[in-house]
Amino acid sequence: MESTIQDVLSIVKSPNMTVQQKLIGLGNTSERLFSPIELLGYTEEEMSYLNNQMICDLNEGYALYRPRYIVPDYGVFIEKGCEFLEIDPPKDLDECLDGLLILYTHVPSITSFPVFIGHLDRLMEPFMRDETEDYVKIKRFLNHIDKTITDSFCHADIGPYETTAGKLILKAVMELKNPTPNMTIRYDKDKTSRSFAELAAKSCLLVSKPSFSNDVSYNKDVGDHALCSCYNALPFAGGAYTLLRLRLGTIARAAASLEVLLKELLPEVAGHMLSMMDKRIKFIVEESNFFESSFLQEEGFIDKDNFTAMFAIIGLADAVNAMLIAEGLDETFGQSARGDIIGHQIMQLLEKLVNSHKGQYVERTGGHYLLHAQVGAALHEEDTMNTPAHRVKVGQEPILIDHLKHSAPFHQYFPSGTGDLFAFDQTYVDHPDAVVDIIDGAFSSGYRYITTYMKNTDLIRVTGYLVKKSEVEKLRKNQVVLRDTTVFGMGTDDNNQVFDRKLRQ
Amino acid sequence: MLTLPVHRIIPFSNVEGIGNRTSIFVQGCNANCLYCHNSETIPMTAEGIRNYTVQELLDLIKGNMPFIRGITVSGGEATIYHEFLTELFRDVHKLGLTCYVDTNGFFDRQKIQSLIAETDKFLYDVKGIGEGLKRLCFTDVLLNNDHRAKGFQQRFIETEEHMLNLEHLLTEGRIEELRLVHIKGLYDEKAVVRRIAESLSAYSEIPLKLIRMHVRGLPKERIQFLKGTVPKVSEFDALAKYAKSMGIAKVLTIG
Ligand code: SF4
Repeated sequence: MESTIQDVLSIVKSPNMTVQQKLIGLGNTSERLFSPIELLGYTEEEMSYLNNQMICDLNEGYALYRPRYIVPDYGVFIEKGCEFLEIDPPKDLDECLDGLLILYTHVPSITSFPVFIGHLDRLMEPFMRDETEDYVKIKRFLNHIDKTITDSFCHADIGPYETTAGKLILKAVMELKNPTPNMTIRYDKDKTSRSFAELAAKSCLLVSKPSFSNDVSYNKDVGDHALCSCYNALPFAGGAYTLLRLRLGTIARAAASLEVLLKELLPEVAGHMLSMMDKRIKFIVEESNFFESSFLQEEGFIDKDNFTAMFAIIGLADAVNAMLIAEGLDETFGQSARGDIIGHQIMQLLEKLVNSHKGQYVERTGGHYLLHAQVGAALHEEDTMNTPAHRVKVGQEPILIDHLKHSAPFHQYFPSGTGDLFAFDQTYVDHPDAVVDIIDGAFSSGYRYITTYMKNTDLIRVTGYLVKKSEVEKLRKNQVVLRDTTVFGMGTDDNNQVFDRKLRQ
Repeated sequence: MLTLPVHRIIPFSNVEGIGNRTSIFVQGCNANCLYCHNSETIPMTAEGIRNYTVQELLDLIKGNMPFIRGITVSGGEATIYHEFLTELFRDVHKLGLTCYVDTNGFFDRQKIQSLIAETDKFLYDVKGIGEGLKRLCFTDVLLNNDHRAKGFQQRFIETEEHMLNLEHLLTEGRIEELRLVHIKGLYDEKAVVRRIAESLSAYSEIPLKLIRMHVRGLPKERIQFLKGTVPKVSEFDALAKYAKSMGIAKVLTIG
């Protein structure tokens, strides 16, 4: 949405934003002071689909000056240090962690904070000397990140191999109970030891992280990659320029029948979204001078040839539910065989449309954009009618086994990321073996990403990122809070009642 | 064709043995424990019970793959259906899954030999030893002298055959865990713990789950029989401590 000078003033005067949040807000507002028609060459038709909410640009801005997601190879720093920042390659754990913290302040993204902070265990492992002392340092490092990167779209990876650093990281994460960084264990049951997997599963129940990614399937589909932001699988030493999303629920509500949806409306709207993505990428690469001015590019932390773009959807459940109603069926997505068929028809069509579109500057992913199942983070009221990703609507979930079987085949469509999450009861904490069995089963059924949490904890996974329920309550009372993601958490809970997900027993 | 009366099936369970398992609760028990929390499974038949053939259960189990690593048959008392289960387990093993049995130990080892051979692990509920079992586990059962209870007085109260069964299964490596529900006044608790400690002396990896008896959720008739038998927390803790002092390496307390 275009912004106005008035927006600048209302941010300046906001009673419940920190100065840092205001600064970031002002930056974003100024990016949207320009007309995308003039600056990017959007057509009136494209604009009409933004305006009627069928396409959502997540307020990404039009005067783009950096890619949305940046996934640096921090190994470059371990090996060569950083010339621009004048830091030498680290000789011990202190220098390693200190250097990383310095680097993080120079890694941009759509949130202005780094969305990827490295495969932490791999970066630290060579410097492990003394478990007791190293633990104190790692814990302090992770806590520092939580207080300075005040946005839980910041993501760290561990695994697939068990390491001392990996175990100390998990121990610290369980003790700190911080929302940031978000974390993934890249899991491959042939590489990850069972005990490390069970430790990770236990941590996931207690503090909602790390989530488990299917390392085999992502290596196959994305090659060298990292998990960043919520659960986005993006090319390593690269990232994604932009993300736009289709609100499938909104689109389907405008379609009188499945035939109209599949033959007319979806191809039409998707086509416009693809061309908007083309224009956005062109601006970043050709006009913003991001790559020309970034030391990350200059020194090899990233390579502009490793970038792709994300074609995202939300609201598959709502789209299918609308079609079920149109067909006169009293069933809902997740518990309807017909609903699954419709869901797959929609996704197969989108897959075809996306894969037949040739994008520029995305050779790394075969000249194509990657489908992504987006989970949240928009505060628009239209999101009340669009369930995250391809998830089942809260309150309409089947029992766990049926839920897993229903959702597994949908994961295949989303090489740049999707995930399901399940709330478990307390008994599972003493039985992470059972949780890992479920994860193994999910991955062998086609799951790409899965996460669990316990319902009664303060730290809760909203959709893809973590918030503290206590912070949301503060915000509801109009108090200032540290993390900008808390706003999204509140919005998503208001829209989708995510705090009430079915408990798995 | 053989069928199994099934009270309930839980597709995913994490408390009936290691890993994620499908739990099958059979209908029918050869005991009638005062504190039984599944007393609706005690009668041999009941309304709403479904009789499954081996094939039907297999199909259902297959449907829960690949999320489970095995099944656990609980009850009621699973071993009274040993013929059926032997057949079922043979087929379940072909799927690459493990088969566990939850038992009260009141079985004839010779008679269920083939089931033992097909069972990967037993979860073994030690009810106690001595005359008190008559009231704790066999009220009605012994009186009726139902065919299931034939010789129980002699076998389990005098000969303590359930403890011999336990020791036999231990030597065969077929015990996953032991359970003991701590109840006051129906058996000599220290003697029972000592007996368990002796049996477990060579098997330090096998845990004993010590459970403090509680009456929450029990039918009224049962609660009234249980007056004065609920151990105090301090008594329970003392027993757990005693168990450790007797050399049981892994004592897990619930209560
Ligand atoms: S053996 Fe188990 S199921 Fe049977 S009566 Fe006793 S407690 Fe109940």
